[in-house]
Amino acid sequence: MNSIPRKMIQRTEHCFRKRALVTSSFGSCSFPRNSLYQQHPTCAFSSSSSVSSRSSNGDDNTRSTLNNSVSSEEVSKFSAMASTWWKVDHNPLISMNPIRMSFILQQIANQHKINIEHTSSAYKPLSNLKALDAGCGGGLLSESLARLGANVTAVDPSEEVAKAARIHSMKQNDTKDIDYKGGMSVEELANMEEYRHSFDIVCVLEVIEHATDPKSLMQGATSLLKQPTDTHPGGLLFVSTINRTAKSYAVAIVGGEYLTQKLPIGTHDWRQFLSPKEVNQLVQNFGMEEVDKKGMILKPPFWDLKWYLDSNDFDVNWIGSYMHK
Amino acid sequence: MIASLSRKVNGNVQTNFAVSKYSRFFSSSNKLEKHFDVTIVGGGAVGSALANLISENIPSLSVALMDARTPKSPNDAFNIDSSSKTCFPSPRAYALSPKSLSLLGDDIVSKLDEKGRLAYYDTMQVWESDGPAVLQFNHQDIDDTDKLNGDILGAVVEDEPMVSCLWDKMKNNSHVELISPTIIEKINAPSASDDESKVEVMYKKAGNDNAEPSNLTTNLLVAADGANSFVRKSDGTFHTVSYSYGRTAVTCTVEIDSSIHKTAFQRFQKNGPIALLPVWNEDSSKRQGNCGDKTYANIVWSTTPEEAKYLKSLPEKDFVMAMNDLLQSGPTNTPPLFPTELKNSLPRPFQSAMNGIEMLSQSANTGLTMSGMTERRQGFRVAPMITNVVGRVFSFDLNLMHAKNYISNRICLVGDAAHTIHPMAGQGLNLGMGDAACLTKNIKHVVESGMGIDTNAGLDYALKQYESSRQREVVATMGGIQFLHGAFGTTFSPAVHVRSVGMNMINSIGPVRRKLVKVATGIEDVVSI
Ligand SMILES: Cc1cc2nc3c(=O)[nH]c(=O)nc-3n(C[C@H](O)[C@H](O)[C@H](O)COP(=O)(O)OP(=O)(O)OC[C@H]3O[C@@H](n4cnc5c(N)ncnc54)[C@H](O)[C@@H]3O)c2cc1C
Repeated sequence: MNSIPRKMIQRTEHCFRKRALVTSSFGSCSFPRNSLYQQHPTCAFSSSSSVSSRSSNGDDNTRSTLNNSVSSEEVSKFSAMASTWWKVDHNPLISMNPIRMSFILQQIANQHKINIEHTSSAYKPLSNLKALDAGCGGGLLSESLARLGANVTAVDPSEEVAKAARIHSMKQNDTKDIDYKGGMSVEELANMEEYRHSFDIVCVLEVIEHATDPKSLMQGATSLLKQPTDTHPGGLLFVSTINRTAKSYAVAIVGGEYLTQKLPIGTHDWRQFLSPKEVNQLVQNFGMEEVDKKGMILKPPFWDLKWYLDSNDFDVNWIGSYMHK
Repeated sequence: MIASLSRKVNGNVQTNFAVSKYSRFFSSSNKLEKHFDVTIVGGGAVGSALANLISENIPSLSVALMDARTPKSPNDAFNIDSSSKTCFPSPRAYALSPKSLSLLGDDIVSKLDEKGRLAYYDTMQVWESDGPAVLQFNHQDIDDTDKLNGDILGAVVEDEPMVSCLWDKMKNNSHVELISPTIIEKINAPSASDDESKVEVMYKKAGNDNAEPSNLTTNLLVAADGANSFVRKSDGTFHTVSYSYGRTAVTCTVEIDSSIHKTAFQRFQKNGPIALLPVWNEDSSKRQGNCGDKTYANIVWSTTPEEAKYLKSLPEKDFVMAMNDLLQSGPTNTPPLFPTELKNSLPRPFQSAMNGIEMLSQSANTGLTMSGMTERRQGFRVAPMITNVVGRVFSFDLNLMHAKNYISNRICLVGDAAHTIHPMAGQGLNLGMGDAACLTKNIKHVVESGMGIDTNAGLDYALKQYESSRQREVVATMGGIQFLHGAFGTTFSPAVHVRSVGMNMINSIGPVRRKLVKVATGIEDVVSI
């Protein structure tokens, strides 16, 4: 995998971009040959790609048992966005990523009593930790976790975006070992024995609001976390999403999609947004409880897209951490 | 492949030449090619301070610092070894704000101070030529958050010893590679649509035409190569706006007859301000080698090009007299508001009305001056007498230059490469230090959040934050200075009145006054890393 000729990657990426554009303008997706996986309409392109995907090996046996929370419209929506994933002007998550990561780092530091000071010539505070990026998209969070030393597995229901993510991460040494599993939901991964209870960190960031069944998503995510033992404090679950308030409607949908066009129209459905309390109730079903939460807010001048963590304002974007009770 | 990577290069002929000349080099194996996370071209005050800040705050990044010249060793800069030559302060000195001093680093500041090369000042007095206005500030006018260095308003530091101390410190730093003296031959930056994450720099040893070219790659190229930045000009994606103040600065070192009492003096007259700044510690026992026991000050006098030429042509005695004339006289009474001819040409009732208005404005002004005094705590200070000029008198034209964009794909501008301003408040360097701190902070932020500067997402985000916050700050400072320049560059009476009343009001009103102090002393909103 690591030795794919560069030219080939570029060609693939190029085709992929074109394809993504076509998909976005006509909304046309064809169903893959794999009939077992009918919940997942992905573009025909992905199955004929010259870059073979790791995830396609051995997935068939697990897919039949899944009960998953992925909605097909959501998959094609994100596939269409993949080409612009790494452009600051097009992806608001890039500007949000530094504060999400600083929250995650701080929580991990508390949990594992590790030092996150930047003092030595290699900054790898997450070394020896296993992390899962659930709904990895273009791989923004996966790459961040990997660069900080974590051993990262990433899943995304869209084959295409995971493929784009893999191609992107292959360019750098620090990120080339990320294990991307495209066309796979969190529940599917949780059904695989070797992954259950294996992660120190599970991130479900900006994903739950796109899921058809948040409860099943949370069940999958929590079952992937390491359980606390005498020697291990247990894994940490991170969830970030948008609260369901009048303000979030104004900011995320009217502001984010229609006015500033930072996001394609239809990216979010306000009815799927969740409050911190609702998420806490969800995870409590699976033996977890909230450790901490922070609002994520933009401060004026808003066009700078400069995000801050805030202890009081959870009205729009927020992030929480959860551990076993 | 490489040719397609390069962005616009000045003119086709040059492009072809450059490509053919180096194509052999590029296609050869890359065993000579070094990679640095950040490469800084220009190791002047801003570039070397930036290299230090990055290596101290983001130790996981490797840094290269390139300059056409290698600065003197600190011993040479402090004149420790030379026994014959007498030494005196260089006129190329900056008034550094407390914030800039802290960015320079305590170790560098105390090293300069130990050798008597730091002149602290705790008071700044600004007054005008034809009017009663006096502005005086001291450390109490600075917000608490800006107070980083005790009771001082700033310190004057010469360029050379400061830069040599910074370079010396980096010699022992394994994260920084110093590449000098060197000539940059060509820069290949990726274009905006390119996912390529590296800039290539071709360079060779300076002063040797037969030197083998070398090349390096870097994730971020920082242009800190001064106002005529080669990097900015050769890249072709940076656009600048310039404005000539129509002024020339005359600058020199002078000897003074008594202590300057830690005061920076700045007097406005119709052609521009003349500033007398402390330089070197007055306690000469700290000085090394043959550096004497005299008391020195720096002069920065900005005026019209014609007057500058005239001043430079004067015999020293007359030039000294001209400076003393301006600096020794205090604020004057406000001239009549309306020209006498105008008043005389009007019917009687209007004349008395005008007199009434004049009296009113005069008394309002005096009242304000008085109330300003009470907050001022001290009265008008008289500047020390200048006895003679030491060394050469330099002059340079004052131009405002501002780059419309500070960033372009993987290249960013700092210091004079991004902006040059009127030296009125001696702030060229404070802004540059602010750039260095802000860039370091934003890079640290993305590196620590695992985004790295090797991806476009991480670097673009850091650079965009850098650009927008610095442009806000720089434009505000330029605006403030422009305001002062405009307000003082006139002798038309009503304007003088407005200005005097304004200035005295500023003296009395805390917040406005503090804002102005910020502009005048170069204390900006604190950027902490
Ligand atoms: C004569 C003079 C007097 C001044 N007086 C004052 C003052 O009193 N107060 C004040 O605040 N400001 C003053 N300024 C402005 C002040 O010098 C600048 O604001 C400040 O030096 C900016 O620092 P810098 O590091 O950005 O650029 P510079 O100090 O100009 O440093 C640029 C560096 O880049 C190197 N370089 C240039 N081109 C190349 C290249 N192609 N390749 C490699 N290296 C290169 C140079 O050798 C130099 O070391 C003065 C400027 C001048 C010229």
